[in-house]
Order: sequence, then C-alpha cells, then structure tokens
Amino acid sequence: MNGIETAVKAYLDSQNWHYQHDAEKRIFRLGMRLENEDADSCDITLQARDEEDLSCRATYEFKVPESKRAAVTEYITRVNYGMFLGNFQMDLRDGEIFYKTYGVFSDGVPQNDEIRRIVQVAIRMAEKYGQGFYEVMYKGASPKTVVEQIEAND
Amino acid sequence: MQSTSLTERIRHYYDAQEWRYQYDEEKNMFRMYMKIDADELDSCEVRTTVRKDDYFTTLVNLPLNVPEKKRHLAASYISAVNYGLLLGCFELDFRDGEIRYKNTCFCGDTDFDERYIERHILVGLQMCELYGPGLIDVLFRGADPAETAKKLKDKDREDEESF
Repeated sequence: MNGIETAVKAYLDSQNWHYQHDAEKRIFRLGMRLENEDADSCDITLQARDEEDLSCRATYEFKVPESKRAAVTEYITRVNYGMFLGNFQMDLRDGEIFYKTYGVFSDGVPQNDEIRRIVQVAIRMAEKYGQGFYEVMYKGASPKTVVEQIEAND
Repeated sequence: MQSTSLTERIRHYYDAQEWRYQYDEEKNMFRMYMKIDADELDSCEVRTTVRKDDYFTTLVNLPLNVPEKKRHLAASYISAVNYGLLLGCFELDFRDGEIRYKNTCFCGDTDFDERYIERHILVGLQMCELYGPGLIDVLFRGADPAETAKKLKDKDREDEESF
C-alpha cells in the first residue's frame, strides 16, 4: 500500500466502517445509508490513483431511465453550478449517477481530516440532492424548483 | 499561515509566467484574460481564488453567454463532456447562460509544489480549448451534443496516446 492507501485505510478503520479493498486497483469500496425517502443508499469508492491523487465517488444505486435523462441533465447542471468541491456526473450510456470529489497530496501522506473532507463532501452532497432526483424523475417536479427548494433549506 | 503561503505560491507562479493580472486582496483572487485557440472563442477570463487555508478554485469563463433557448443543448453537451473528468468540470448558469470551467484544488495542509499549481490552473484553459469549438458546433451549427462530446473525448484520448 502507498501512503494514500494507508491513510485511507486508517480513516475507514477509525470510523468502524466495513469495506472491501482491491489492492491491485488501489480501490476501497463500501456501502453507505443516506437519510432520504427514496435515494437512501450509495456506494462509496475511494481510489488512490497514483502516489499523490485520491478520488472519491458516491454512486447511487438507482439508474436514470433514458426518457428522464434530459430532465436529470438540467437538474445536475443546476446543482453543479457554484459547487466548490466536486460535482455530479451522469453516464449517458446507462444513467448511472455519482458525486465525485478529488484531492491531491504532494507529500503523498494525507491527514485523517483531509480524507474525511473528501469522503464527507461526497456523502453529504449525495444525501442533500438525492431525493431531488426522484422528484424530477417520478414526481414531475421542475429541476429549477427542486434545486431552489433544496438550497433554500440550507 | 497556510493561506498566505498558498497565495504567495500562486502569485509566484503567475509572475513566473509573466502574466498580467489583477489581484483583489479582499477576495484573495487573481484575475486576468488569456488568449485561447478555440474556433470563434479566442479569449477567456481566468480567476483563481484562494479559499480558506488549503484549497483554491480556478474559474475559466468562455467569452459567450448561451442564449436562453439553447441552454438545454449546452447542458446536454457539458454533461456529456463532464462525465469521467477528474480535474474539474464545466458549469452553466441557467439564469444568464454564463459558461465556465471550474477546478477546485484541495491540496491539504502540505507544502504545495508549483507544478500542481500549474496543472490546476492550466487544466481549465486546456479544456476550454479542447471543448469550446464543440460548444459552438452544438449551439450554432446543429451538432448533436453527445456525439460532439464523444468525438472530442476520443480525439483527446488519441492525442494522449500518441504523446
């Protein structure tokens, strides 16, 4: 394990989270519950991409049906505007959605707090905007209204 | 303080490039205009803001506002482009059609090498040069957003492989 993997493992252990580690791909995976009515879980993937870079994805278990991808594209675009750390991405081939964060550590040894931020931002954003996907996809809500409502509650 | 150090490192990088910029002390922001080679898009505004003590954001604004009736097309295009990007993403403001590339570098509490500053500032310019012409094709020449994005991503991959 390189310095980033070691630090990620120490952080995950400190949270008492269960995870799988793919040593070859330098990936840690775990499931996470979200406090949402519908989008109530996601998969967290942490990858030490090289000796200095760490990416984190919070991927929903649902996929966006093809007929709803245009509306979800607008929703994601509105949500992403002005985000500081990370952004939502959608795979147009299959409708997979994830929130991505990324950090670079030039000394290759991130601190617990730094990893926590990368992971927690992804989880919080997945939780905060998760229910909005269902509002847009299945309840006929306009992406603009949903984003405004979520951000008004901040 | 780390924020001062990071600000000074960024200033040093800007000065080393002999770029002409303005520095807004209140916002801790460096601002300049840069020429790019991207079809009709020949310049962009670059703003680098140091936030808190361990990260900075660079915004590269394209010199156009997407007309209201074309904003859904632009959103489709940037969504297709954004998928799989690691460093930053394109953003569209639905209110006024502003379009920009944003990259936040969360660099932790470490001595941050200048080559990382370069990488994080230049990525927005490179992305605007690469994907800006596609945006023009989508907005004004009837090109399909997903196909245009795919073509340019493939080209980017080929260039990387040949390099």
